[in-house]
Amino acid sequence: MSKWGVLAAALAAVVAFVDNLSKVFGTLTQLPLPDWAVVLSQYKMELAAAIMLAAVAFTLNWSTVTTRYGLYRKLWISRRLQIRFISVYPEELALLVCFAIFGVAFFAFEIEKARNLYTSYGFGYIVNTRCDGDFLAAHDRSEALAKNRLWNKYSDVLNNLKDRYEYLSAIGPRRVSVFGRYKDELPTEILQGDSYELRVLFGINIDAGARAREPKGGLSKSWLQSPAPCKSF
Amino acid sequence: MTAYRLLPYAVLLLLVVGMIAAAASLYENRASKDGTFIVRDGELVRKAEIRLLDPLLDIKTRILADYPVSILNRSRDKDIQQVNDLETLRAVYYNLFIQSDWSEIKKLFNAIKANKSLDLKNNNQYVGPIVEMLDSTILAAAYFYERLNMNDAASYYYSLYLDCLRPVSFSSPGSIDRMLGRRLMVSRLKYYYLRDYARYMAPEYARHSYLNWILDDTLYFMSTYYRFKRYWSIVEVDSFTDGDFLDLIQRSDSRALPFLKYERCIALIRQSDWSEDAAKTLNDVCAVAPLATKDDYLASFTSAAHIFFRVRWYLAETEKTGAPDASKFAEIERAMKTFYDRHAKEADFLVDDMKIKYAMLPGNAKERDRTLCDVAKFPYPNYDFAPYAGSLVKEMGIKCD
Repeated sequence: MSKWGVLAAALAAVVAFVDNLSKVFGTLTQLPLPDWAVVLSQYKMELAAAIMLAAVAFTLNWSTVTTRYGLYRKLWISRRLQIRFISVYPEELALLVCFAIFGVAFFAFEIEKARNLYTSYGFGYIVNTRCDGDFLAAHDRSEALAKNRLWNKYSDVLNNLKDRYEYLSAIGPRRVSVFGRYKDELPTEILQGDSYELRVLFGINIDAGARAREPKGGLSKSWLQSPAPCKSF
Repeated sequence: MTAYRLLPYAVLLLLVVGMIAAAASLYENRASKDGTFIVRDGELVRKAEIRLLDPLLDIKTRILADYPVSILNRSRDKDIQQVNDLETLRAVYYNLFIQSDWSEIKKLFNAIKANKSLDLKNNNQYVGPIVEMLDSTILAAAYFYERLNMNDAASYYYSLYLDCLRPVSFSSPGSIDRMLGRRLMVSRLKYYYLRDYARYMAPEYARHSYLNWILDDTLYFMSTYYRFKRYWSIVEVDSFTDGDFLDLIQRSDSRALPFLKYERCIALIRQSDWSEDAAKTLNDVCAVAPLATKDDYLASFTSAAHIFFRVRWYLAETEKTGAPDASKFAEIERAMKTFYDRHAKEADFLVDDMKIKYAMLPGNAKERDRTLCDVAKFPYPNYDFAPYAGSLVKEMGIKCD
């Protein structure tokens, strides 16, 4: 294998695992990635495969390959078929059929994936912004997508989301002020629940206060330590 | 030579198998039609998102999913004084609930008494929906917290539920006392139980508890119960049986006994078949061995057992002598009156059967018709004794208003 082949294999491996590596080091959520990066990261395996194929294509000596295969195909036992000006062995036809099946499966897979990513592109942005408590951004994107005819299928969902985000953005500050008002009166368990609720429903990270740092048991500890669930995927 | 000829076929086989396996793997891992994101409870979320159990959050999410957000949006600046119909009350209540503004919620229900548009005193059509609203929010939260062993939170919400239900109860017409009474009694007891006894209870208590059985039944009938599937396995309760409960009492910490005995007493009064054996058991459990507790709330309801025993004894004596003893009847009458005076609405659901028995006592003709009609008219069919009273009314040809 040439040095270019080795380099290509290394590059493909890096591309394939870069997302996992960054997750391990916990950097992905902190990087200010544009939302289209979500889409691109979904194609890392294809990109890695393309790099590998390109490396193989450029490394191989194709005239040698053609000559060697010309000798090799004589080993097929069955009779050669002559279809117009092409001569082919039944074994080669079987191999072609398998390639065709794989090709069709691959294209179907990619089309489904592209369709899925198309919605993910819009929805991913909405979920991320909502998760960060930026309801106005989530509302605006929902509104823009609801008006886009390509998103007709989801217009009901998007319109409902628009109303929901408008409501939550208006009610969020009141909820925080109520939380502040009752902070010293409520039992620890309720404060911890409130803190979790503020994160999940309103995208607001708030310290439940010194009293809430002494969990009594039950689910309290995990409530305090768990990341916002909308971020974990 | 043979091996040399077979080699290309081995390679061919390998390629064919590899291709088919790759195609199958692509098919297996194809993008789901539902996509990476789904709409769950009206909210757009990642399909892989997993949330921890948080009853209050789950109830709020349920409200946001089921109740039109546009109505919540329109009514978010409305205050208590602007409540003039049930729908406005619901919207204002849900807004306050989502904000967790408990003191405003208490004010909202206290203002219900004086609300002329709702007119709860003369109109019982709103009471059911209001109670259902409270059941599906505060009572459900309290019960779920309790079953998650978060007793401080549960106690807080039971107390809040009582504070909200009391004004509704005292301004509602008498015909729905039983529906409210059962809720008032259970939530009041739960509050005391969590405060004083929960820490001494065996873990299996929750499954065998009569109060949990009642609460589970109450919540099962609320229209949104199916929304809380995640809690179903946690809130599971066995049907109440005296044998299991007695076993539990024998295995329990002595500090938990007053409450357990009291709970058993209530269950027996409620489930008693009025046989002589049942009266004797009740007498043993509740009357003969008074509860060793200074808590008035525990001791007071057991007076129902005393009445029960007296009624049974009075009947037996009347059968023996063939003539009712007026002085004994007067004692029973006084005991009944004291009991109702003390417990008012909370008592009603517990003693429907006692009421019927009381009505049918020899020497009680003047009260008989009114009491039977009162029980038979009760509009909620899931109570055991209304059909029985109805059949007695028919059988005896009594004319009810």
